[in-house]
Amino acid sequence: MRALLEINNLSVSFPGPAGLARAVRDISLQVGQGECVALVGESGCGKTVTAQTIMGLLEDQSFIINSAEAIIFNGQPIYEYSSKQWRQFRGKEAAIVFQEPMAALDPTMRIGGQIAEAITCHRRGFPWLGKKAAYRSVSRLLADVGIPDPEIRARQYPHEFSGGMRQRAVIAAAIAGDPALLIADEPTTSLDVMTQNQILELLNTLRRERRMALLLISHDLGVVAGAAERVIVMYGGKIVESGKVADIFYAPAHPYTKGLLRAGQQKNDGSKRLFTIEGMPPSPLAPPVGCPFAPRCREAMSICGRTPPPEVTLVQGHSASCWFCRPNRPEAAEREREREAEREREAETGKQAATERERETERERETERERELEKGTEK
Amino acid sequence: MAAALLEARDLCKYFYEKKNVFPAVERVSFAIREGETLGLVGESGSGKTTCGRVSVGLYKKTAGASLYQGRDIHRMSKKQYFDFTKEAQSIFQDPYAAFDPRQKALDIVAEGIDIHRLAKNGGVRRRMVVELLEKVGLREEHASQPLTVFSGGQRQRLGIARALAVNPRLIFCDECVSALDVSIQAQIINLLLDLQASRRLSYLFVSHDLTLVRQISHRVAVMRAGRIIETGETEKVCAAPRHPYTQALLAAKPIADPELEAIRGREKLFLTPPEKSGPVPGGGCSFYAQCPSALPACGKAPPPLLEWEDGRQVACYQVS
Repeated sequence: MRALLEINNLSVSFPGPAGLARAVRDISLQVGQGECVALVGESGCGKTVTAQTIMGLLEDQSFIINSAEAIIFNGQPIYEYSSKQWRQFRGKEAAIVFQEPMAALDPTMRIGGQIAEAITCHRRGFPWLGKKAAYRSVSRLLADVGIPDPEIRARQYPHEFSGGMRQRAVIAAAIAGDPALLIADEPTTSLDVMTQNQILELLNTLRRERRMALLLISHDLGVVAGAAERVIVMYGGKIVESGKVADIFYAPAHPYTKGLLRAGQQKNDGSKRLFTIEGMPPSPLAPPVGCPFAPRCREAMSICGRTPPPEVTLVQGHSASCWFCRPNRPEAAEREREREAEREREAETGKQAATERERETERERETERERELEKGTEK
Repeated sequence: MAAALLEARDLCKYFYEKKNVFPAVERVSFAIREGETLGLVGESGSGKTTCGRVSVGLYKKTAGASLYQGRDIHRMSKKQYFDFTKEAQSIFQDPYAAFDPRQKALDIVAEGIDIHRLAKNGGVRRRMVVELLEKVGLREEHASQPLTVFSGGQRQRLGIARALAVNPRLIFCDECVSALDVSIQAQIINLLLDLQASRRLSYLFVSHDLTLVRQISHRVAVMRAGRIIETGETEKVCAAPRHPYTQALLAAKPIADPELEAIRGREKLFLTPPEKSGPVPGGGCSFYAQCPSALPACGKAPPPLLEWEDGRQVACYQVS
């Protein structure tokens, strides 16, 4: 598969009054033609900045990108583009769908008009394509994204659309120029679970039908599981793990990926508490010297805080940046044994806590029963 | 059975726009006991937030009653309602919109303390706030920082601290974790669970995510188009949902397992999710158009919410 988008050692920083905010630090990734790649991470990990950099949406003076060759799209270094080339690029080569559909739409313009704009913009070389023809393709696009009665809906305003329908309209505008790459930046986060499913289904169908590559950005691994072919996990501005979807979900190597997969699940120690990743993501103003996850990592060794871990290829196409993943490390084996023992201890204390709690509820129930009996005798 | 702390009886809320009437909440009844969590679930537009807001008096009701310890919230005098706000607090969905961005964390959290005059002097006030901040997992130095330095998760913690400041007995959580990352979500849920255990708090927990509600609530009420369509103990409802809509809602949440998702992907197509929410023009069941097992009767009149022997209530002709 030829790479459609190639990012090589990209770093993006924003100068500010508090110093340089290093949002993206030295990341490399590839998206093949027609491939669906997911970029996963918590808010503030740099995934949106990555997307905005690809689309050239960051203001020139406000950021520092390390080299013009950092992003290669279809063999072209896009950061050497003139503003005219950029306009050609956006929408036609790559398009983006944002998290908040209402913010992406003009509230004073009819939906159809907004999508027609995207069409006429990219078909300037076709003078025979009039307004009527543009509107015909608008109807077709709206039908493609699953909006019923496209002719009627095209004449409506965004406020007449529900959240899911708005997101569909935004997607219609994004695919109007037949882009080779669609970036979907948290496309389902502002939607409820039902609509979420529909939008994901739609994105996947469009990708297959139009042979379009999809870069799906999300913080929710559940969203990614059904859609992506490859998953890239970002943390603290760096890529910590990347691999095929099965590698990431069934054989996660980085402690952060493991934590993300477990987060939100119920602990099976009898309490209703959920698994979390304790602590907060690092600040981009002062990123950790070593592994970005080290301060929150339960398994961190002293080296993790000092030296950034190398990228280790585990199997073909699956790599992680973690000191633990380095093969033949004696400490790793030792730590593994330690953790095993710790887990056993934890399981035992968990059991104890559970039986303790059971006993307590039993006691409570008994006293309640007694009280009721007393009441009965009083009466 | 302990008496209900908050009880809604046939609560209705209609919104009027020119000559149009939009029944956002239609005859909803529920009860929350002390130390208990009621989860109110539904998709956007189902009326769950409106229902919550009416029941704690943030909106005026159209009909019915909302009783707090037996007293009607909507008939309270100003003084009584003022006292009620000390007992019941809210945490809102959007941690970026819920606060004044120019205030410091200290003043945000102290809002309730100031209004109810709970602190004798500035020193006490600050001590109270710091104690609250520590309780929700923030640190003392956060108190003097402006809101802009707080992340989404931290802001939501501030919201919880603000709600806790007046030592309430009931907290209305309106989608209070939906805007947060999954790992932070779990942190906030754990915090809410801990607080409930230590203070016997009651929650009215509104969310669109049934799997999340399952973790936190004792009882759950599923809403659609302004009506409760199924209610009962959370574990029973989630383990064996009776209403087809509840079943669809449970199946909708994506699972972080690619193989399972692939299997489910085909099943999901079966249940085409709803296109429009809101009242049905024909007056039938709100799920009629999408329901895989709809009867002709379903399209004519909305099914009544019938009680089953195990305490659950379901509004569906098919299962009753």
